Amino acid sequence: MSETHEHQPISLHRYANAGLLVGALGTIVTLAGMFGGNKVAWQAYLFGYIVWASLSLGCFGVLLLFHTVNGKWGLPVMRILEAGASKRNFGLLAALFIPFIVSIGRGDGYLYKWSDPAVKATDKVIQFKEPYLNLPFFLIRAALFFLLWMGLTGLLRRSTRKQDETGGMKETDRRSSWAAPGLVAFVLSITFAFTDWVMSLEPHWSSTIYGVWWVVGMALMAFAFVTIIATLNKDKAPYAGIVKPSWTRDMGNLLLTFTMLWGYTSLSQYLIIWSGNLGETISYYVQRSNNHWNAIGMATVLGQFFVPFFALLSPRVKAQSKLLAQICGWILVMRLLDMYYVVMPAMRDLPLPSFWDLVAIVGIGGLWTWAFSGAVKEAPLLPAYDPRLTEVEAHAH
Amino acid sequence: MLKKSGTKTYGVVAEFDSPEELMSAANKAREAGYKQLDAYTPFPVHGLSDAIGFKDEKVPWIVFAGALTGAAGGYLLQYYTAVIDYPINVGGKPLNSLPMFFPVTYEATILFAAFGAVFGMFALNRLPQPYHGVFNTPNFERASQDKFFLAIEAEDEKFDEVETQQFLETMNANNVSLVRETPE
Repeated sequence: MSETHEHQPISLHRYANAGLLVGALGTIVTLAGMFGGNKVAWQAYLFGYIVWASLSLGCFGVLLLFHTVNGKWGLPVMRILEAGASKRNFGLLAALFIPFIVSIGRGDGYLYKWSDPAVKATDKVIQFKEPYLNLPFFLIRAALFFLLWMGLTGLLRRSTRKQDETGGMKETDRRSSWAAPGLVAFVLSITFAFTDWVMSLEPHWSSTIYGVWWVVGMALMAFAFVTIIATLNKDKAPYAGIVKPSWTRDMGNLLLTFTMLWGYTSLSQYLIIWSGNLGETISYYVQRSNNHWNAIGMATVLGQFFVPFFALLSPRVKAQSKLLAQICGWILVMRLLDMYYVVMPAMRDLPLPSFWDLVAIVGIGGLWTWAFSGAVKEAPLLPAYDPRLTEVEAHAH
Repeated sequence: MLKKSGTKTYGVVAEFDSPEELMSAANKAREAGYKQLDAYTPFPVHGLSDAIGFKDEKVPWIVFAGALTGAAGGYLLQYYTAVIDYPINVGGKPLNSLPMFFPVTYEATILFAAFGAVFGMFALNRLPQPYHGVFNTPNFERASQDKFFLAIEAEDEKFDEVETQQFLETMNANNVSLVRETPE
């Protein structure tokens, strides 16, 4: 773009301290509410946790996809994806997971009804599912998920850091052979994890496309997250000259694809349950039709599918980074609303958000930002010696 | 433009060994002010359509119109069969069951969008076209094997048989030739 004047460098880690402060405060307040016996605070904590876990896992999934297919689109945002899915972030999420174990261990039924002995005593379905839905097995599974995610993300990060020093394409090929089976393990682990953590909030209900739906939703969230960061900083080093219409078009097309996949998985689940019309499976949509939840559901149909779908159809929109950033912001807001619609009705009959929801999501988000900032600071924002980056620059001109 | 021996001139065509040489030549030609450029390659070259200044604003709209036609047609077909022509109670559901109509509506949308893309492209390119002036380029069959061709067409305002040839000869081409609409 311009070689004559220096670009102001981007600093993604400038919010680290603010994140830590706000995060610690919000999380402590939420935990105080929870352990003071406030059920709404527990629900808010679970929702906040799922939102930020989705972002980390979405970054991880997109990173695995990138290392598998080696598309040039991923190079400018690889380091942001790595930071979102860093060992720090997964470590933080593992630590923040402890309250769920406490709740299940106490059998208070604040979140997971299947853990409440009083409910279990009279509920045949929960009794039947007990060999799977019990604390030790739940805990072992969660530990395995975190081990898998941290191990795999650590492996990929070591490889890209090594390549920064050695250069060459050997590490790229090595990563591809790890990331492809990694992607399979990732989708399986998400299916099991979100079945455990979210679907089991409604222990009578089940859906087989549920895991894929989460995978698609979190990937969409991660694509919007990294695209908004890159496009908003397109005039700063090192993005100047790299975030160009050819790149934003690629990202716009990926966002469009995942928007369509979101629509596809959401509709598939609804269509099958609706046409089957069986008592045990329709409970999910019955709960989400009552008490004005259906208004939120309809808002996600329009806002998470139709609006971004039509906005992202035009190649001219995708070539303008400012417009694309706005669409990404919209998608992120809709991801929040959609996750609210999926998670909350399992615990609440009324769609009204509470003060605790805000505190918990900002609190966990603050800690997340702090961990993310630490991981961003560790490495140059662009993979320094990846030979394809010069291709991206040439391609961008 | 000059008209030698009574035949119309198609343009000047340069042959290159690699997509990079073609890209750089196309960029230079566009920067020099040529507008009627075309390129022929054995495989799609990323960014080439930008390099030759090719802008397509019609096909997407034809695709969009096709998609709307498909969506309306797919839905109305089901509405007509299930509600008007042969109403039948299935599981107590309403006759006009939008969720149930979605898959076919969706498929019809995609089908007609694809028709729009393929036939719109054919129509705008005036295909099928059994004969084209560029076929008279020497060695042109290699365009589907291993050579890369850049054409500056005679319709271009800036086109001049001598100057354009000289211009392309500065580009490291294997061969630059003046091509007529009909063989000489």
